[in-house]
Amino acid sequence: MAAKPIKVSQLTNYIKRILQTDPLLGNISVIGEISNLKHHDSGHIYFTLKDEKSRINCFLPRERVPGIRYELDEGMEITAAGHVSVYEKGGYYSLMVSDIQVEGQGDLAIAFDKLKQKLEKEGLFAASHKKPLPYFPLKIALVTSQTGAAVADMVKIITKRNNVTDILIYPVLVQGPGAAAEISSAIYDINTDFPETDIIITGRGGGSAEELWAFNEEIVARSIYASRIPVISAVGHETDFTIADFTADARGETPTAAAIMAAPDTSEIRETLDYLMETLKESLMESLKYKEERLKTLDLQVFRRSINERAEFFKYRADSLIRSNSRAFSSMIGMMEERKENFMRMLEDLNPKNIMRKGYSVITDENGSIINSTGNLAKDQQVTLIMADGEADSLISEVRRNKK
Amino acid sequence: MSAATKKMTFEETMKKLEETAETLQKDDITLEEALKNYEKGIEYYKQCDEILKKAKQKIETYSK
Repeated sequence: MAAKPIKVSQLTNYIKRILQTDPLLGNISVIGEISNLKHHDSGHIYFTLKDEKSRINCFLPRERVPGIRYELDEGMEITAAGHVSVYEKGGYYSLMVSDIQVEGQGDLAIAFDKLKQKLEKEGLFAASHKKPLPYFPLKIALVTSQTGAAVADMVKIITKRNNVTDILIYPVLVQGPGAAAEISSAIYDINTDFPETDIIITGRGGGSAEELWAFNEEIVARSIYASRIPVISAVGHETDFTIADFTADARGETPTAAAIMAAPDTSEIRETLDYLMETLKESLMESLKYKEERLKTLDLQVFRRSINERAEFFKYRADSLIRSNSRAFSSMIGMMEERKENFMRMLEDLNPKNIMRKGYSVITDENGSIINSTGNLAKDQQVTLIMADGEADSLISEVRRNKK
Repeated sequence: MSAATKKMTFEETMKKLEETAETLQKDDITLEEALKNYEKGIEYYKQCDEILKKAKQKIETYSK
């Protein structure tokens, strides 16, 4: 029997201490192929690194994710830097990843395509979001390396074409880790600190895929997309396409091309301006001359004739209007007559004399008021009977009321 | 120069100048309109001209 038995947690804790104090395991880089890649909702990324014989669980914590320069995918070969840590509860060890390198051309292409698809889906390349470049920028900012050939080329081109537009050189690293972070924060800073800037050009001269990689990183694309100031990307040669190119408002095939695109040729503008001024003067002269000619050729006789013709025409129109109106009036009057006669007939029918001719008569009291109820009659009352052709004084001999 | 015209970009001012030249070429324009347009055109020209004439290009390098 070995030493005195210990608890599981004591053993795990012991293993953990051994692994964590080992100088090699505390800072290690591991080459392997990604499998079981999982993006957790919390933002952490889990995957397994494997080779033909073995595998290790890897954990990329959320706070490290923005610093990772490559979009990960299954089957990609990477170099993961970090330290080995023990998860006591689960009783297993894993590689706690702090940085990832991708070197193979194929693997870089995979990372590129993956990010391109992701950002395209999110709408970062949408044509509708692209801002037009101002025709005459008064200030152009160059986000590039201060020592590269690109910056010298661009300044040369801009100043050759244009002696008005200001240039702000904003030096950044354009390759290696940290370059993307500098480029993206430069773009944000120019938007806030130099808001008068009309165009930002960001880019660099030619280089290997790895050297151009900063312009394929997500944070650069995001800063370009967020920029209120239009951005031209100008990375490498015309055959180099970067994620920055897809996101930018315009792509310069080279830094020189971007500079030509951004800075208008002031002598050309001067020519256009002077030409417009000439046209303006000539047009005014033409217009004045035309009016003068018209005044000269204005013949009074012709003028009078045309006035008379117009007067005739109006008179004819007025007459025909009156004629057509009078027709309408007469038909309206006929209708009115007819209606009037109908009313007269109705009134005639209601005339009491006509009613009486049909055999009805009216009884009035001594005051001449009409009696229309037996209630107003009494025995021996003197009344007058009115008929169509005369009257008769009468005496009531008896009143018989209808039962209700 | 009014506040409204001051805010116009170079491109907008140039476009306005083009428009005044086009308006002047219309046959039915009145004499008054023609003169007004011409004056406006001159104003736009001056604004563009001023910007071009300044030619005080600055090249600076930002340092943190």
